[in-house]
Amino acid sequence: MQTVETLKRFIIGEIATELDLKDIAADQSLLETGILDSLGILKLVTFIEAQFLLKIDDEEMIPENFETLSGISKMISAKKASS
Amino acid sequence: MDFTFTEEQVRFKESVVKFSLRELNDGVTERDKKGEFFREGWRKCADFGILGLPVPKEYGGLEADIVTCAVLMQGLGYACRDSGLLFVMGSHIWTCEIPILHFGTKEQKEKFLPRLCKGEIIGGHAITEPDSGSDAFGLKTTAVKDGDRYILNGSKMFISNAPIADILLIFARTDKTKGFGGISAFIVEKGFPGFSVGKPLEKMGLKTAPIGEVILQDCPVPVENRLGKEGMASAIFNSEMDWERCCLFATQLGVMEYQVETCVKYAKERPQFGKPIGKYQSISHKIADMKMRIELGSLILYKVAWMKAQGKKAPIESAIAKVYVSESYVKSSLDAIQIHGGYGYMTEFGLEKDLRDSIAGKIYSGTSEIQRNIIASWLGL
Repeated sequence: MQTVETLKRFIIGEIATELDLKDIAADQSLLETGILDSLGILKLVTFIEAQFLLKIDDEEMIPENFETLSGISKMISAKKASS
Repeated sequence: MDFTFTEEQVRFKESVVKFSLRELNDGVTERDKKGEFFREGWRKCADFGILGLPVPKEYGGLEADIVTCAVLMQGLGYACRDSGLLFVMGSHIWTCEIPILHFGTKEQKEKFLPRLCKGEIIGGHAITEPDSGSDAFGLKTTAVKDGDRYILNGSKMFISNAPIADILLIFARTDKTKGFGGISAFIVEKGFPGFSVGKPLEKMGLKTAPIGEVILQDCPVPVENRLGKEGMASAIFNSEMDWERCCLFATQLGVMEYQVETCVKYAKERPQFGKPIGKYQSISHKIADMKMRIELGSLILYKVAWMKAQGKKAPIESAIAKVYVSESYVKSSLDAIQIHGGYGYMTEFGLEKDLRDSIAGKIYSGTSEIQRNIIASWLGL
């Protein structure tokens, strides 16, 4: 839950600034709605690596890992568990 | 901080420089006039091992790390006057070999990498379309799954190596609902039905590097030729771009080194009003600026290479390096012509060719404008 909130604040405040979003639902598609574009994903990955002390490989930067806040949170949890 | 290259990198660079001076410079002016790709030079580079620089030895490559690759490309840029040949090689290695190496299946690597390393087949990548350049992921080419294959339809424009390529990494939309996340990459082979290439496009510079239009008309591509998973194009493209921005632009640093040497020599030897023109600040300051651009460009470019070698991401640094080196190349090319005066304007001296070749550097690999957008975006603007 906290991870989702952290991600949401970053996306709203630093990535999707022009969309003037108030909230993003945990299972809302970030790609279909255009909240995340290709540059946005790069910024998000850099943030996640610094914030959660993880490394996300190029091969992991695929749509299915970044479709929703829940999906990204799940990926982060899985990586933390395996590290 | 230790900015020195290893002894091995220095020796390797010296051997590349010697090879280039010996093998790659005859007939450059004529080839540039005719817009002729230097096939014999390509074969020589393949025999030397340059075409397999970053590829593991198990696939026939030299397994060089990214810093070493940049060092060698800088050596090539310094010594080889055929920038078009280097551009063809760059597209082949950084935009085709690297993605297959990093994202390919075992079967794809075994099928394509050895032949790419030997230069038996020429590769490239095709993302730009008539209506989507900077907005690369606004592309319209589609790939519709049909059993064990995809059917590709669309057209690509300004595709480096297209007229001479045997394989192209083609980016096409597999899911219209997911924006950039709905684009996939396919290894399309010359000879696939429905795949055709237009005649080479005439252009301002890099005349010995053929580029053309690609048409896909109900072109069937086997599922096993898809590179990575569906939707992975953005990851593939971004990964490849970092290599391209280091190693392709390292050749430009090399050319700038050659330009400084040429200008220093000329400025010392050419007398006007009783003294060498290098004694006049209007000339010496230009050369000083050219030297500064090389040093500063090297610092940022090799920082990117170092970051990538450490497994770090370098999106903003890579954008800065690309803008700075490519724009420096244009400025230094202009300065080199100005320093040489009338001789600089003449084809025979080769300096005007550098200027014509340099302009494209502000356009390909993401325009200067897009790079500035990226940098500004990272600053929160």
